[in-house]
Amino acid sequence: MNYFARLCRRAPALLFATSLLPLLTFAADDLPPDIGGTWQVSSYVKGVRDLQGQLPPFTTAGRQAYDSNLAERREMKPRSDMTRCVPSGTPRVMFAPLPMLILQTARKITFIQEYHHQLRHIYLDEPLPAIDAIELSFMGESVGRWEGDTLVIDTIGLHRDTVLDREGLPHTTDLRISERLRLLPGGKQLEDVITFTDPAYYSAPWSTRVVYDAKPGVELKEYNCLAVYEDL
Amino acid sequence: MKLRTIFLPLLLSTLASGGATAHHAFSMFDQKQQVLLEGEIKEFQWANPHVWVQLLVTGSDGKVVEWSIEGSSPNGLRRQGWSSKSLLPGMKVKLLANPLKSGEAGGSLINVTLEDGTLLGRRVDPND
Amino acid sequence: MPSTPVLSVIVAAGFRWRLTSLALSSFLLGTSSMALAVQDEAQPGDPGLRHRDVPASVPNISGMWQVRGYDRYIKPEDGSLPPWLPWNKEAFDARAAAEAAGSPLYDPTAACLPSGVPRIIAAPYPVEIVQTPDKTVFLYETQHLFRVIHMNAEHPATLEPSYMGHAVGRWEGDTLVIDSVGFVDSTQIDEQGSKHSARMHVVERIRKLENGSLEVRFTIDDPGAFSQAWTARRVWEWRPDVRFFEYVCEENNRNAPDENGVLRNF
Repeated sequence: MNYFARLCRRAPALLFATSLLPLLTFAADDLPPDIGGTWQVSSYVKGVRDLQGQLPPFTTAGRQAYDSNLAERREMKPRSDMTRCVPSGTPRVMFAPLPMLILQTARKITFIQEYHHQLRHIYLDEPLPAIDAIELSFMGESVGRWEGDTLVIDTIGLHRDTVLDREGLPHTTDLRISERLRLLPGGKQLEDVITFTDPAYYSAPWSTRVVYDAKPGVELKEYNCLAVYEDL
Repeated sequence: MKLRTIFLPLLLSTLASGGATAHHAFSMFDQKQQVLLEGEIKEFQWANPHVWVQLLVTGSDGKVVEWSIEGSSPNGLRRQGWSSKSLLPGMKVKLLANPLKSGEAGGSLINVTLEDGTLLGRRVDPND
Repeated sequence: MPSTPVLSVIVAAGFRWRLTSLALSSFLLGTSSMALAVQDEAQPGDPGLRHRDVPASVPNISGMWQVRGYDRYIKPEDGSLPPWLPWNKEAFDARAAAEAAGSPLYDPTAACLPSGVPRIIAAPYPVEIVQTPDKTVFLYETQHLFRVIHMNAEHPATLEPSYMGHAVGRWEGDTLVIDSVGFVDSTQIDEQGSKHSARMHVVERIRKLENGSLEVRFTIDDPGAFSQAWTARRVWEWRPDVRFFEYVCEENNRNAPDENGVLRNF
């Protein structure tokens, strides 16, 4: 049997299969990388700085709030009541030097942080809710989407009672956070570039970068603030 | 604002609001009594584990008494249609509560009626 | 999509396809429909609710659930009373008496400590289950707690006791069996007040019911607090309409206990 005859015999199967090849390339391109698993901050910083290593561009009000926070937190006496155990919230929890477990599904990304068992729920491919439709919280409201290999997360709705880092970078309730997460080459590190937009306190949006190491064998421990009080 | 208190003895108190009601702290309150308070919202504390309504009630003697009314978790209330803005400072309301057994100016929240007649919370039939 | 050039390349190469191409194409369709999924209310069993590498053969219990009808009292499923050891019954009765007197006793959750197990099973707030290839994770709205169930694993030889314990799990047919140990002794079984010891061993059996709800049967085996093992039951309803709200107990806890362990009312 010649080549042409064999080809004709297989043509229907070939046509069927190849008609699906666009789906193959589409699907392969469209499957995001897997960032699920246990991660831990590579290098812990108490004072977050921008990508140039500098303090962010404060407005006058922002600088005043920062100086006030710095002073207050330097002199902070250990508090005995349980209000000291309100969670650090986001983004501070993303800088904490304790492990986190990321759960990745097609609909949602969940960050489980060992630090005070804080949870971040990121709903994929949804619009950000309007600020008047939500209640302010320590973790805010987050939505996300994949842009190629990068997970983009937008967060609004943060309480005024949190600070951005341990030293006391301030924010208002208008703060909008945008994160871009991606695996670094080699797949053993995860980078999160976090951009803050809060015009009352910062004269321009500014960004910082935190890198996590993969820790596949690590189990998250139980962290109860009332037993172990740490201001991380 | 006149202080009007109506004590309604109940045969059975069924806290059937569908959420977490039979809570540990609620045994401090007299489930067999209800008190209806007319007053002005001083503050609505919308936070876990319980919301609190600070209500300024003026007695017939002219003295203002601040009542602390404890509610359930904002999480359940939010799913029933409440928000942090449901009660704002200055609002004139009628608030129904089970009073503290101790007799102090406090109670557990049953419902609130706003000036326009809107009812927030559990509708209670006094004939239950 | 440039299918025509691809088609011509394939034809030119004389590629050999067999029936495996049908299997491949169904896989591709499945994968692509996952990638193209619309974010509306999830259907039970939606693979988009769990990690994509969980085999389809594993029952899908991922998604949002909420207990049907809150009952603060955890009792045996046959309606009998918990088989308390004498000290436990005494403590239970003392608690009931204090409540009746209007001075309820200290309860760890009133001090914003974690609910523990099995109390969290009966808690009235939403729960999300997320399955991954090696873990089944429970995310609770209550105090933003979580439990990681390590699938097909063993408990470590040494365990630091915790409020939520350490859990391992496996599938037995359609039932997820979870084995938990390593508990501190300071939590309560439930809000009503049964206590337990550090020897408590809880086995949960979770499976989908005909109507799509989740049945959670849990056996408490604790010779330090009960005269025999006993089993209770809760049903969790499928709730794709519910989203988590944040629950930070420490934010404004005005009932914090005093130095005598009596809850206060501020």
